[in-house]
Amino acid sequence: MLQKIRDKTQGWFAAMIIGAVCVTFALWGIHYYLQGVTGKPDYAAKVNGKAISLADFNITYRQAAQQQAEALGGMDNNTPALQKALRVDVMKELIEQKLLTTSLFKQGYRISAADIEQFIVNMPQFQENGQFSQTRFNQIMQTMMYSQSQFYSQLQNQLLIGQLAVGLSNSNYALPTDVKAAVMLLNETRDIGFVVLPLSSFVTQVNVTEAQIATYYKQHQVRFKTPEQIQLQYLQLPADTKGKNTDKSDLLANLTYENPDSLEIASEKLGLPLMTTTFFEANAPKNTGILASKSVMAVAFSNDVLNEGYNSDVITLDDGSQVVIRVLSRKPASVMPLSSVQEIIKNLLIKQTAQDNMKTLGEQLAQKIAKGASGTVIANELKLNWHEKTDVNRHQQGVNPQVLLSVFKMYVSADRQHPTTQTILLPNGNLAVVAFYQAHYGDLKTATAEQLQMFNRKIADDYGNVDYALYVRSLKKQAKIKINQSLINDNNDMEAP
Amino acid sequence: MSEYITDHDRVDAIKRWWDNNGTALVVGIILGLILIFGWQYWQRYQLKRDTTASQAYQVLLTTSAHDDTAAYTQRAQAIIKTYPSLPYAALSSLLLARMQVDQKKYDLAYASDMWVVNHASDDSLKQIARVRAARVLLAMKKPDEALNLLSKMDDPNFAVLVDEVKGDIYVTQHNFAAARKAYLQAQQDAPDSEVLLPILELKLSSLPAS
Repeated sequence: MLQKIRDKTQGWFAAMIIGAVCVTFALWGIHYYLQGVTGKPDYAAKVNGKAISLADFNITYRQAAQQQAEALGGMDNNTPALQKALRVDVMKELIEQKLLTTSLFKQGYRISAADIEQFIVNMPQFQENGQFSQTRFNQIMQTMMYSQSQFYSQLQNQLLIGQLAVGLSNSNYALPTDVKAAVMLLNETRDIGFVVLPLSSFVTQVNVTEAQIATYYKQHQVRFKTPEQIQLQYLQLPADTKGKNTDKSDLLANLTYENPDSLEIASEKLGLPLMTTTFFEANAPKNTGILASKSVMAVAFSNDVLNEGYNSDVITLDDGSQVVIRVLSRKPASVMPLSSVQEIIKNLLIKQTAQDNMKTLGEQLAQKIAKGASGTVIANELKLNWHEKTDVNRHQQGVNPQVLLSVFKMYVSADRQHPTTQTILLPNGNLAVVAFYQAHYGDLKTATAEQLQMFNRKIADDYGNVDYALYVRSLKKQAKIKINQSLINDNNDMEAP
Repeated sequence: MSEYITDHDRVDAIKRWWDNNGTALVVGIILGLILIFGWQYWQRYQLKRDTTASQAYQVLLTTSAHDDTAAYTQRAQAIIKTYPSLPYAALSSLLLARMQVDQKKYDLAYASDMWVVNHASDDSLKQIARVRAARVLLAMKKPDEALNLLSKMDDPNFAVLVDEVKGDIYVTQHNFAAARKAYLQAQQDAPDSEVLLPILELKLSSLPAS
């Protein structure tokens, strides 16, 4: 009897203890106990403590890469830089998604399983002859590398986020004042005038003295330095295809090593011609022949070869051939003599002074015109033409695009009596002095109903999208986001766990 | 000490314990079961309520407000009344405001936006609704009230919208220096290329130089 009770109590105790353990596991999450202790994060990112799994990241990345490859039409998108950019994008996208879905779910946004199924059944992608096709659905899942449950939850996330995004963008509006402003401003025309000061006319007026050139030369010595250049002599043993050259290779190494001050002995005994390179410098951007090899360049400027003048060791090139080099002659670093750069400096100084003079005059003219002086008179004095154009619109043909762009950024003058003015340096080096006299705003009455409706819709959509972008931004700012940086920085670590 | 306790004593002790605590235990278990099933029922009820609201909202989203304004209004108002604590009510109220602005019923639109300001639990939605309500006030030629409403904005992430509307308000008051300052500030606030206010730059360039 007693034994029975004791057994039973033990049973209860055991059950209770196990139960307690189960509860602990359930509460704390069993994965904390099963988690590896390798030190590497086992997540792609954590958003407010919620993990985005490595598997999710890898799947999304592969899909994105596949889509990108298709979009690029088979172009090579496998460069590390592109891969990294894509990984950063995928990470950003997943984090935003996680952030939004968890926040929306917490607030009570729901998409039921029935809704998801309904949505899938209605997706034209999964239909054959207007009917949902399970085979087609399965095929597409396979090519998209999705499992069915992954696709469901992905779709659920998208629908959830869509409820907010579409809600925000459909609910914003353009008020009549907004539409009026858009019509007024987009259909606005401006009356303008401008004169172009040609740089060439200033160039001819500049005199540069010998003294000025000499001063510039002294002050800018670094610019006129040429680095040291060297010329190499070398022997090249062609690539060994059948193993016959092994002996020759050894011989080349020995002969050049035993006679460190000359290549001639090795040349004679091996029957290899003595070759020479042109003069070159250490940082020359593009070399040809044996100088294209980074190892050759490094060895050529090494202490033993450059300063001691010894033969190099045997260097194997990318094509399998072997070379031994030595420095034949050196041209030391030097400053170019004044006589050889005089003309360059002179032109430089002329151009600089001409530009300065042009800008000074331009500013003076701009100020005069802003105070009411006639552009025509001023231009005539300089034997130049003052161009006046009325009713210029934002896309006016026949007006210098730089001038046009700047004109529509200029402010309306405060007193509306005098023009506002500005100088604009044109790409060809000339300077435009521009006056903006008057604005003619677009008239609501002349705008067509279609135009008004288009403006209305465009402004409402744009404002709605701004709302959504700011909503996401605000959410992001408040979130604690931890990114597994190795996914973005490390190129070789992309396999799914 | 345990040597003096017989098996009989132990049985007696258990019996006594049962007499003292049995009722409490049974009541406790029943209460626990009620709690568990009650909780499950509550969860199911909530899910049902949330998904029903979601479906009603989805219908509203895909309906055109212009085709049948009466039906649209009814749908939106039903969601607002039935599920006032759910985010779908707030979004429906915003959608309703859009329809009312299109109808030029600004007082109604203002009320719909302000419903979100006063009832929504999502702070970001409140900020968005407040800026929209301020724009409606400006359309109603109530610039001071609009400024007053904007002064209650407290999330700096929405500053770009606030500054633009402030600029619009100052323009109507012919305070062009203040308007320029506000528009320039809005340009500074715009955090990235995703946030491009449609006609901000145009408005800025149309201001008189000062």
